[in-house]
Amino acid sequence: MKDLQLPPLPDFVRQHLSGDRLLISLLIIVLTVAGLWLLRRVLNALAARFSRHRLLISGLFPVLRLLIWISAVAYILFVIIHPPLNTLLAVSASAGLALGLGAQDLIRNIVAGILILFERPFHVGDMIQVGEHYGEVVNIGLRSVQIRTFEDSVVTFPNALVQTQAVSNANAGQLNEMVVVRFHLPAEVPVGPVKELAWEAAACSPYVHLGKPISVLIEDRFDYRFLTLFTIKAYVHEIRLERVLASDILERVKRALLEQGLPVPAGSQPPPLEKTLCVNP
Amino acid sequence: MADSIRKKPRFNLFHGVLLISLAIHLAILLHVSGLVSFGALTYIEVGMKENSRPVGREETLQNLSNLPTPEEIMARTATLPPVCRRLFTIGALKNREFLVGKEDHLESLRELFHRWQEGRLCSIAVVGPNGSGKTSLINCFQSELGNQIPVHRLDIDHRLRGESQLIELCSQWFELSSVPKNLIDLEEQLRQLPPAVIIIENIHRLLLRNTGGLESIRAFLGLVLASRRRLLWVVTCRKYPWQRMQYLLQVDRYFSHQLQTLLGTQTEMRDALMLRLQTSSYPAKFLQNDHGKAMKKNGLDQNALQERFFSDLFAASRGNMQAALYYWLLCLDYDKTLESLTVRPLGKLDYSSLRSLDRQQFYTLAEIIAHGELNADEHASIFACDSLRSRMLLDHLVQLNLLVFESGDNGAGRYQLNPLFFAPVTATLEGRNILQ
Repeated sequence: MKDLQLPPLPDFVRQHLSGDRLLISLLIIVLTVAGLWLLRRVLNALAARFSRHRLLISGLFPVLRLLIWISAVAYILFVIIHPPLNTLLAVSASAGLALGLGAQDLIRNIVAGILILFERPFHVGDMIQVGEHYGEVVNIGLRSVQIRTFEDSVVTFPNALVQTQAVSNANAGQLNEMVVVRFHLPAEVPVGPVKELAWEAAACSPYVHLGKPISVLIEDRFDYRFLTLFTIKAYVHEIRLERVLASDILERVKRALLEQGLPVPAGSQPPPLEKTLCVNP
Repeated sequence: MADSIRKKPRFNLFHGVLLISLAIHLAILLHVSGLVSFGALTYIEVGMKENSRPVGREETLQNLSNLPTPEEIMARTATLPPVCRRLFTIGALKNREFLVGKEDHLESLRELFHRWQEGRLCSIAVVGPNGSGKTSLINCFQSELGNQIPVHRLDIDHRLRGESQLIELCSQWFELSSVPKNLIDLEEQLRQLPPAVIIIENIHRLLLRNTGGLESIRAFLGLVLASRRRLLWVVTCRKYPWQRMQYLLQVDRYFSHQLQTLLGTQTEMRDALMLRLQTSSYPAKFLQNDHGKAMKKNGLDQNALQERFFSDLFAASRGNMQAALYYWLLCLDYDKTLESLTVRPLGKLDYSSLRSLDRQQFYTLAEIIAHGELNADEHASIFACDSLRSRMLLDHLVQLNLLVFESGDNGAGRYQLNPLFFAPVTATLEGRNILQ
């Protein structure tokens, strides 16, 4: 029973929280922060240099950061401060209780953050859609996930929200992703030449990933008049250029239709939330 | 109480080793990522940063022009003896005398020719990067054929736009009695020709990556398919355009056999250059570097210096013989008094300035490589911009020494990749997933 008794506070402070121990702990924290900053810079530079493996390299940082922080805290706790077991149990139990009651959301987000890091439903650099927002994952933290949208705004989601909501991942860790371009033409326009032209427009874009198939699908539509809906599905070779590819394909289609004297898709409807570019007459 | 008194934390040997190991790993990472340079040995300065003064992007890019242009290198050869100038000529070999590392390919061509003579279906594509020896191989093959069979050697010297241009060109090539009305008529006329070997070079000029730009290559492939029982088609194509055609048209199904002339190995490159050097009968001395202290060891004999030179040459040229010849000429000097040749060390070239190019420049370089060459109008049609902007962009790349301009007949000059930058540019574009 004697072992379970907590030491008196002055004795504990003198033995385990002396000035030099605190100084070393502080130094380790500073070194960890500096090391993480440097690691981030190195990984960013590596990702820029080896673009083909950009997503893999960028995805390493959140996991490494968590592991480094766990190691640093464990080192400070078990090697530098090294409190007796009963003190450690008492402090962690009371701290756990206090945090559990007072900061449930924070704890929930942290647990969700750890699950996201190890389950890996998406990585840093992936294009994801959460709710109404679509963009590139720029950071996966312990508390939140941040994405950068095409309008260049950073949207932050608490991890618990991301964990409970449906998340659509457009590229799943790959550098290429499918881009869908839709356009409508009057139903009387001959389908065959337009289909061929749409395929060529996609295949000739410098931003298309040629290693993946390009397809053009046809559907009938009625919107005050009979229409033919053309859907081009192609892969962009660099996910950051998906809008550039969609725009480029549509521009080529329009130019080619004009050159061949065919009607051009005109007018527009509000852009859809999903990653498609759609124009109808 | 004794067990509750803990020792003060202190660094021991384990900590020391851990720290040193971490520091080494960090240094390697920093170096690989390009954040820190540990003094790479650069004897020919390509992308040398000027001290520690911060430089702008354009200024960084201009460092690329420190490397002499192919014309300047060729001008330097005026100081070499005539026999060396002739031996180290840039271009395809006329015969087997200096052909190195292509014996297997030549044997394959002979075998395929015999198969075709036996009535087997054959059409051959010789595919390889620019400067890998495709034309040299074909030259040797043709010289072996002699008068066995009629040989039509044709070169597509300009980009064909559409079926009609191809029909017109074919009627000139084969001296057809009447100009074919359409492709079917042309196919019919080709089937009437006596059996012959048709060698066509540079079929990459049949493709342009814009809407409608696949028409002439499709028509050509149709001709090959229709007539390959009667005619032995042997075509050459650069590697990247071939890959592009493969993606877009599955071109390999039209050629029963493909010969890949890969870039040379370091040994092949050394053998090829040393063979020419020995033929010149001039003694050659490989020099040490003056700058690096590490290389001033007395133990470095000629063999070691030669080995180091060819290792650096291989790294700089990525096995491209054309680029290797330029670098070789850049390093070669003639000593008139001693009547001998000296080879200056090449060193590791620093091309890090290439990373400062912008997206438009990267894509332009990729399209030029994937087409073999482009003129300003073709570039404009691929990138949907006006010709003036295209020309400005291409001229800027010429000034950066990344492209070379070859003036054409009707004022439409062609822009090609500078062979000296073949290795770093292709590596950079492949690394960025732009060149597929």
